[in-house]
Amino acid sequence: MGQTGSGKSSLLKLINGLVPHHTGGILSGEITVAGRSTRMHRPRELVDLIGIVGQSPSEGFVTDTVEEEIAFGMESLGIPSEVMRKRVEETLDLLGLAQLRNRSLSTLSGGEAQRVAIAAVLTMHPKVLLLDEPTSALDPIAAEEVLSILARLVHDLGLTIIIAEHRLERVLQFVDRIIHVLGDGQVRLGLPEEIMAQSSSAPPVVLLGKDQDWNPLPLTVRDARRLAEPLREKLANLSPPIRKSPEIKSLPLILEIKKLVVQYEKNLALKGIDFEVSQGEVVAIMGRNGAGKSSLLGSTVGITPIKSGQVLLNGAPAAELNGKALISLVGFVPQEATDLLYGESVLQECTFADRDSQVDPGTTYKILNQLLPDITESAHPRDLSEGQRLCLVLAIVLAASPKLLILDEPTRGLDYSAKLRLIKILRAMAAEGRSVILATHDVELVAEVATRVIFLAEGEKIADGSTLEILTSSPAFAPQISKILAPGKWLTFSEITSALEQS
Amino acid sequence: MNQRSLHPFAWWAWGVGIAVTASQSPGTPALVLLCISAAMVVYSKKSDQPWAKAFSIGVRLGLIAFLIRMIIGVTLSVPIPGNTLFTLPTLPLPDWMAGIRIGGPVTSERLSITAIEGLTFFTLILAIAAASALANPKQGLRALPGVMHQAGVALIISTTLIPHFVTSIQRVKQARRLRGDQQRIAFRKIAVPIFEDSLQRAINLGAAMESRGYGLHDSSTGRRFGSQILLSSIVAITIGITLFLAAIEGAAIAFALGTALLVIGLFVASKSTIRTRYRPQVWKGAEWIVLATSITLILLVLLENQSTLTTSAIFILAITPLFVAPKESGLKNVIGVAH
Repeated sequence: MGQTGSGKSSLLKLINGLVPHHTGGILSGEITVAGRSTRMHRPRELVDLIGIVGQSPSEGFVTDTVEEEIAFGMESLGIPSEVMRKRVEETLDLLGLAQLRNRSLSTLSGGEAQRVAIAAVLTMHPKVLLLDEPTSALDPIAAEEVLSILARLVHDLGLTIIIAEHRLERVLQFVDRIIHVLGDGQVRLGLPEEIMAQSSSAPPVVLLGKDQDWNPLPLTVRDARRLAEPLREKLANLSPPIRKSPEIKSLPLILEIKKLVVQYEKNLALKGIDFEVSQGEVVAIMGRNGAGKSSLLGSTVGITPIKSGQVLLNGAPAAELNGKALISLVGFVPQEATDLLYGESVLQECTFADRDSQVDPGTTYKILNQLLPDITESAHPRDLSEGQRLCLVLAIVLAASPKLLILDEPTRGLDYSAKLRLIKILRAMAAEGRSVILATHDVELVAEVATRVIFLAEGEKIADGSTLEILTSSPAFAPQISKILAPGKWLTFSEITSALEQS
Repeated sequence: MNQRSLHPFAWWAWGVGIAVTASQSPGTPALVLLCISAAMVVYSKKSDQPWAKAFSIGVRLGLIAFLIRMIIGVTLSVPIPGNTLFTLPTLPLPDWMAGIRIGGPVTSERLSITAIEGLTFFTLILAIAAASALANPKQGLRALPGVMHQAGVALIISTTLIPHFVTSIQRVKQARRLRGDQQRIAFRKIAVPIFEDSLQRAINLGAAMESRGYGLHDSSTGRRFGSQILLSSIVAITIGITLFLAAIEGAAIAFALGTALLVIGLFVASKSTIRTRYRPQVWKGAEWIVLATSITLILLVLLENQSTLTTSAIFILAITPLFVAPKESGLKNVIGVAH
């Protein structure tokens, strides 16, 4: 674990020798894996010891079908064809990929691609498996699936697994030890309890445990539930603060979606969606990978072609708006926030944004400074950390002061402190009377900011209601706090602390 | 259930057999029958994979070639005596182009000769299109000798990169819309992010391949030696072709030398790359039959004269895959129980 940009990925790449062999750089000191030094061996000479799966596994695919991809590494090693055949079959079974064996790699969902990438390195029978944010792009259920398979590999094969991950709430229950990369070049290695007790960034369950002085410090929901009995009694008489949900009827509608159908070739991505968003609402759209979230968001700014139905922004069809008229109504932060950046420095991006939104020069920079006081204006946007880049894109989008802000997967790759900053920004926007729509897999974020949750499955809206009602009704999508304190209607750690303070 | 596909090289042997037969002027009925047999085999054996569309593209291409040949044949050619059907106005040409005429009388002999030539073109294109529609190109690449492995990997990577490139252009265009950017000329704004994207992708792919052992056992000396032999074999074969076309003696010797060098070069180079193949494509009875019929077809048309008997023999030989080849599954080598 560690903050964004602290060097987690570099540490993983050091272990298998990609740093410095592939990236360049100066290495001092010595890394040995099973007695072999990465100084003397190139990564390709360590494949029988180390397997690595990068942050976006689909970018590392070499072939085009699942089975060939899994066999690719072995072909390079010169493993006899019969052995290869046997290992591929074993691996397909181990990772539950047998039905996908003939599928084209480009048709796989995020979770499936992750599993194929893991299978592809496992066939070389490594002793160590390195994973860089394996669950960051996955919905909670797919993440659970990948992590439980990893746990099984550790049990069955005695594999050593090193995972770099921001969403500690997902992985904490599986880990034996934590390497905390501090960001100043130092690391701390210790048992999860020790590291968590010292660390300021921690998942809600640990925060709650620390606050209540629970001993031993709970790391999982199960541990915490056992210790939570006194707290549950204390909270029984209190009621959670009512979420500031604006009177929907009284406020003007900013977005109306009527019977929206989106079709890609033969697949219906959205099958007739209806909903409205009024001013000041924070709506979270949730659902599995491929449920149609991104298509829905894309249609609200007119980048997803609509087959039938209507998308009205402030009464006007979204697809017909352009330029200034569009961006003063809606600000869109896509999944890959870097897509919006094409300048060569932060300052240049800000000038572009001022011109595009037709505002006074310096406006964007002023907004950026509020979001992120310590940014270097001459830095290249690509060199910024994930969190800084998100702030820059937000500043660009907010320059035109849109009435509706749309975010697609904003917390991907964000650490806890960057997430907290984002939560503050979103709350402030809602307080100003702007609306926010966010599509995300991050239940904790939804619990913090959303006033309403819409649940999509297979292109249909299957639930639409208040955050509390929707999140607590589904076990997979419930935040940690609500799991611990069920049946109490609590969602976040901050709700509990403020309620306790008031009493 | 034997649910496998024919070895791609067998399909190519069949296609080449038809093409060679067509080029040896076997007569109009034989040409027509060759086209029919190609179409029948393709429609009954093709898979639903994208390359199966090659045949219909081939038909269109062939028709265009046929039309162009007809137009050229009618308007521009050396005079052929015979029954004049109609006369086109003649275009005056300078003296040094004597012997060529644009326009002029069109005889029925000229029309029929041009039509047969056009049909030959059509059949040739159709034969190649049929083979490409049936042979699985990915399996073909995989069946290449070890030395060609790297080229094969590069080809496969490039085929997967094109869709990525398209999506990255789309994303950048969408981003400009999202920023409300309405400047028209924005090459830099589009090109820079796309190049950055592709570069990043290439670096990631390189890292992934490196960490999965790609190129682990390549000994560069052996491969260099092998590729030098291969290069000389190509030179020898080229000389052979030149000699053959110029009708100079020694073509056969150059061919033989080139082929021998080719075999040696492939052997040496393959020895130096220790690489194994996952589920190699098998060459079994059906492949042998298709190869044998194709060779017979070529021998028949080279040795025999035009007759009803040879024409029907050509048709039967060309259509043999219809009976022996399995239907292309489209899936990657699903090997039957017999294996």
